[in-house]
Order: sequence, then structure tokens, then C-alpha cells
Amino acid sequence: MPVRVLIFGSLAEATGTHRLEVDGVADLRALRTRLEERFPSLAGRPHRVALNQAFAHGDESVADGDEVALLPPFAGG
Amino acid sequence: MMALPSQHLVPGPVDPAWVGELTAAADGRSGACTSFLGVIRADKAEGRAVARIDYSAYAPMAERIFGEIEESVRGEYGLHDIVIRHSVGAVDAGKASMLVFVRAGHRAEAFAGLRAAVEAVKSGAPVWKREIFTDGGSRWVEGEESQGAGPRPGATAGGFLRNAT
Repeated sequence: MPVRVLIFGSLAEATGTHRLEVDGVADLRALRTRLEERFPSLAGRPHRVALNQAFAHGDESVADGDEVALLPPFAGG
Repeated sequence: MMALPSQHLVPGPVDPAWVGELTAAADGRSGACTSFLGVIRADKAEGRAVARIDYSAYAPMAERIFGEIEESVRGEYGLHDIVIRHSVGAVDAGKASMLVFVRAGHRAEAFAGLRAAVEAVKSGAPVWKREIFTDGGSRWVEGEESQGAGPRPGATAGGFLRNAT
């Protein structure tokens, strides 16, 4: 079971993707590299990363079934 | 009039009548009820007016963070009650998209807690907005400068990571 990746807001528009699954990555750093290869438009765009709905630092390990979300700057209200 | 929904995220506009509903439910120990409604302005940008805003959210995380903001502000300011509601989906100009209601013993903690909660909602929860213009065009609004200098409970994890190597 792979890692589920959710992409929000302007990042979803830039990548043309809201949701995808990624196999064979051990941590968030490897996942980021993989995503930037697939979606060059991600590089340089400010965003935070959430792992299982909690803010991540960027180097945490990931396991099958984890949910990773790419969150562009928040704009509530 | 729709009764106040139980979830923090509500589809479509926030109903200003919820303020009356919450105020009417006040008990005898609270001397101050105050609320903030964020309303969509028909701003002009690049020569065209905003017709509506489409809100999107990472719903389960936003629900949790709105709950954390309520708990943290309630505790920090000694509020008797605090209620946050925020729109998802389309909200037309002139309609409200967020509500913060607080109830407290006195006005000082009511106003201070309200301000802190509003700032936290605007900057601390995974919610995004896209302005839709009257001519059909649109743009994302991101990283809006905060207009308040108050404390920001719930706005955790510092600044945004720039994803450059």
C-alpha cells in the first residue's frame, strides 16, 4: 500500500493533480524529490507539508498507508 | 433560517442569524457576548471586481485546528464559550465567510479573545481562497498580510518552508 499524497489550492492547479499515490519512498525527503521530478512546477513554491494531518518538518519517515498533504500558504477568512 | 451547524466548516455562506442564536443561548454569568463576521468585499483587482470567493480546505485537519484554536483561546482568555465557523465552497460578495463568537464574564477578555481567535483562524488553518471576478477570471489569494498584531494561538509551526534546495 503506497503513500497517499493530497495537493491543495494553487499547488493543485500548478500540478494539475489533487491526489496521487507514490510507492517506494522511505521518508518525506525522498517523496519530495520524487514529486519534484514528476511536477517541476512544485520547486520554489512555498508550502508546508502535513504527515497524517499534522505539520511535518520534512525528513520524517513514511510508511505504507500514510497520508501526506502539500499545503500552500493559508488564506482563511 | 438554518440552525448553527455542528461542524466548523460549513458549505456556502455563514448565516449572520447564528450570532443571534448564540447570543440568545447565553447564561446568566456572562456579561459580554461579542462576535466577528468576515464578509466578502467586492474589491477591484486589476480593474475587475470580485464577484465571489471559492474556499477550499483540508477538511479533517482544518476541523481539528479550529477546535484547537477554540480550546487554546478559551483557556488563555478565560472565555465561557467560543464558536468558530468558516465557509467552504462559493460565497458571494456581501456575504459572510467566517464567524467567531465569544462569551465571557467581561468585555476586556471578550474583545481580546475574539481578536486572537480571528487572527488564528485567518492564518493558522489549512483553508485557501480563490477570488472569482465578475468577468469570469480568477486568482488565488495566498499569504495575505495579517492586519492584526495580536497573539496567534493555533498558528503553529512558524513560517512557511520555501521548497527550494
